[in-house]
Amino acid sequence: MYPSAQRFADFAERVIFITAIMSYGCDLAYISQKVTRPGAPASETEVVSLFTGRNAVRGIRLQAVTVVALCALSPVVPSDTPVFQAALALAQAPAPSSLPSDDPETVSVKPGGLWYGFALGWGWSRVDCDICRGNLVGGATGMLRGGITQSRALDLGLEINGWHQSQEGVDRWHGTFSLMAYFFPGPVRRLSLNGGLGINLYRASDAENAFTSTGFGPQFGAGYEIPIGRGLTLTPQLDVVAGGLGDLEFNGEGLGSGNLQLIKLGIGLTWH
Amino acid sequence: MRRSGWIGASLSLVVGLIGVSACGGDGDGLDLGPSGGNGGLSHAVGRWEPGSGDTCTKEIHDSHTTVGPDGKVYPTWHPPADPASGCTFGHEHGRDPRGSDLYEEVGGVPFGYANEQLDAYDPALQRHEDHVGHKIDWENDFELHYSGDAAGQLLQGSRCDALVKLHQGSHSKDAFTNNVHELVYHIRCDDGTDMSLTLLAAIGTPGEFVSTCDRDLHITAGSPTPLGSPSGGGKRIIPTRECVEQHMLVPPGERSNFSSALRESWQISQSIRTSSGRTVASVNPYFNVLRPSRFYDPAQEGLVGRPIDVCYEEAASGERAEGSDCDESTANGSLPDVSWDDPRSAFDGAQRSVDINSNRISNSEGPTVWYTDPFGKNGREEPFQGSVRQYIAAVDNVLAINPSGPTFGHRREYGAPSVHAPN
Repeated sequence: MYPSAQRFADFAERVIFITAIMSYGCDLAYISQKVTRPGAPASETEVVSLFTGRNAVRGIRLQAVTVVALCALSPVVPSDTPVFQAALALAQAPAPSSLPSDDPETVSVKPGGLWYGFALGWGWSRVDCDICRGNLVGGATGMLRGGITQSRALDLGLEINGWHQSQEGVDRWHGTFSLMAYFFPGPVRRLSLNGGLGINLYRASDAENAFTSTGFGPQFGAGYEIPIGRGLTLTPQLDVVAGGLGDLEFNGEGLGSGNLQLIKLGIGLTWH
Repeated sequence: MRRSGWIGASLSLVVGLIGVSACGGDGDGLDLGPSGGNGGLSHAVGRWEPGSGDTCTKEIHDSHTTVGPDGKVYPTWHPPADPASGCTFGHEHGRDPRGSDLYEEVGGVPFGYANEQLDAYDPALQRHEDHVGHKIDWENDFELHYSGDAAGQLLQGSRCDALVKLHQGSHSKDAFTNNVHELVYHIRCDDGTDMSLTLLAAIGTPGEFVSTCDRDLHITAGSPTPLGSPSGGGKRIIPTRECVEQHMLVPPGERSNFSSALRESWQISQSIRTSSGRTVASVNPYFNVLRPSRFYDPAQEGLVGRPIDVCYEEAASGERAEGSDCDESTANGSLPDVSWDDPRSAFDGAQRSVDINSNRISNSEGPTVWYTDPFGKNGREEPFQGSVRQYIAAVDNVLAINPSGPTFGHRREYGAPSVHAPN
């Protein structure tokens, strides 16, 4: 396969993987929604999931079939890719003859309680300045966050994001340190709307030279918390960082101001 | 005209002038702007004489002129063959400037205008260059490049038009010692960079040059002309006999590396400075010649060796030149007597390239017109004896990183079947 085709195939594989993960999260939420007791008092902020139950296994198998179908439809993803193979194995596995009961698990949050989590994913970064190309560049992302629950509808915390890409002799890093608010608008803690302000650190370097920048900028996003255990949620999320880049510097000398955009998709775990 | 103080006149308008002003004076050396070409003939007119194989007369050749800012008549670009009569000149001046997007603004390029101004600026520093060495190149709408992986991926170079001319003779010993050569440099980019410079560029150190195959080797070759030539930035990289022996004469079965043996690169680092010493603009283009008709050979009486002669040479060890350029010149060895000035020789200096690198302007306060001495120094807002008008946009584009490229012209061949060294 030509290098460009290989890169496109890698990219397509990641898109399929992320798409499947996100749709899997939505399916789990759907399963959870179906079994939530209508009479459950929202004030107790209890949520119910059937992740460990028969429906969850069915959901996983449905997702595996989805991934297989997506890969089969994609002309650029060879059938020997890890995602395809794993999904195929899962889709072809025999249905379990006996499953645990559908006992729901609950996640409780209390004002003043600590929470923390992490996520991994993929993101696209773009640097803009007077003489910048301004290309969107894809790379892996990681996130750590933690904070204190303020109420059933609001968490506050510190979020650290890292993005990295290495291509043709150039390493690019982007980090954010943001004070964030996570707002849960629904009657139960599922969808969160996130916003905050933080520091952006950017670096692109080769063997001889480095471009660096430090700046302030806002961060917005949305997440979805899916209870999967006692105090534990699976959290797919989408974030957009649109920060002022500050002065872009070349080997420590200023090249003028600019700005930075980072769009990232991720999935992680959060403990309450 | 914003860029130029004159409009280049095509020769049909000027032919008559030559006749009536052949005995004209040199003018007063003041560059005061447009003039009607009544300042007489410059020293550069009439310096070319037809060789034995050239079919054009001197008169036909000298009809290709333009009018300089001082009102004098100067030679300018012409094709290798006269369009009207079809006769041949045996030399070329590079790419037809009329195709440049800047041509409408800058007009014809007068050859030798800065040299002429030097006569007026300091008669003790005369520098009259030969005619055939004036070489023009241009490119429209090219993108400047940044060197380095990170800069190349992250930064977008501005888009530019450039029209340049350097006197770059590659047939004689002149450049072994003489570091002062006329440069005309017009560039306009979409980031506001805009300048039109004409000057005598001091390229490296007078009296010496740098070897093509050893960039640390500075070879002192004699006294410069003029004797008081200033030192400048950059360097003139010129092939030597040692380079020929390293890369052109090869054992049986191997191929000569003609580029490593013979490539010339004149690397300019030139600034425009005010009388107070402040730099308002600087450029550093590289002008390269791929197949010159000379190399430095201290064993020769005139210090000049000829690549075509090496094609016929066989060392005691059995080493000899093998490959394309010699094959092309000698019809694969079937022509036993191709001389250095034979049109059949590929070593005629007609294959060249130009690297456009940084174009720094620090002139946000203006003015856009500076009058400098012929070396681009002592810039003032008013003209003075021997001054040269420089147009520099009122911008400040100096960044911590400079473009380095692109190269253009390297895929073009300016020669013609009639072109031969000296060219």
